[in-house]
Amino acid sequence: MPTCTSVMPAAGDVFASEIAPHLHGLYRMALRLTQEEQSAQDLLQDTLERAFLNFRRYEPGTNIRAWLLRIMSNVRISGFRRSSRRPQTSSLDDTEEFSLYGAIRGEGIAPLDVESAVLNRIGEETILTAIDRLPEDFRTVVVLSDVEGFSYKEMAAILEVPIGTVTSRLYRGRQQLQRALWEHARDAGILADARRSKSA
Amino acid sequence: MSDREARAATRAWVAAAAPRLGVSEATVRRWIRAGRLNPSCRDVYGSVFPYLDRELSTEEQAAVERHIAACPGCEEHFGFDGAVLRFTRQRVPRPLIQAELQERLLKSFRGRAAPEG
Repeated sequence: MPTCTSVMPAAGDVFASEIAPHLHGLYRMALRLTQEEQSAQDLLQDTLERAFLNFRRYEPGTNIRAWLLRIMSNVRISGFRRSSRRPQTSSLDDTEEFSLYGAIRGEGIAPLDVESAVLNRIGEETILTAIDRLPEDFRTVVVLSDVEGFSYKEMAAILEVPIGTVTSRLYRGRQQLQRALWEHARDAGILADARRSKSA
Repeated sequence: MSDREARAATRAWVAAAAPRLGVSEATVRRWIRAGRLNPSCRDVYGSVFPYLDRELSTEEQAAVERHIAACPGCEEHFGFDGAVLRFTRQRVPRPLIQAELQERLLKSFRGRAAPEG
């Protein structure tokens, strides 16, 4: 049986070295989408399998992280189609305006004090919990933008939606995130402390 | 727009602005009279996140900056949203994939030939 003497690396080796630097970001996205460790691992694995199958269509030198995330988004959507399960997406209720700025002023706390009096007392895990409570279409853009640092144009390409859709989902998503942080600050007594220290 | 329509639009704007700013409608009207606030603030605020994300065109970015420079209310409001955004971005945990899972995934592709088709 002849042995392979080619110096060309196997396609799988090239693929593995291309994806290796991006596994942390892909894993984080899968974790935020599925909110569960095993499902996140499954989504990541399915994404990479599909990416490998289509790897010859990837143009070297273009943004591979965005390409992989677009595949992840498609894998997730086709998974829903097969199982007839649907993620919780935004509804009309989710478009209700909320302004943390207005809420803070309404509490009599100076907006300029928000970092020292309120935000710095909110734990890091609380931010993740608040992100996880967002409807999935809002959560996706908030994570892509504020956790992974993508531009609007890149997000539009990943999600295959117009930039205007990205902009409006981000606006609503961030407003809802502000609301969730506000509710946490209220329930954890952070607001009451801020009011007390102001009147002291 | 007739005067009547303009008055109705201003009333609607005041009603929407009051909860957003955390003040009463009377205060919003007082601020408008004092020039501290004007109905174009609402349009400008619609661009708050593209502005903070530096996603506007150079001209749009400059227009927002001109408005903010002349409008203390918007300057504070934009500054506030910018602070909340920075807080979220800096403090959100970014978990890493476990080394064992990472290795298992990479290993599953190494040595594989290009797929058929």
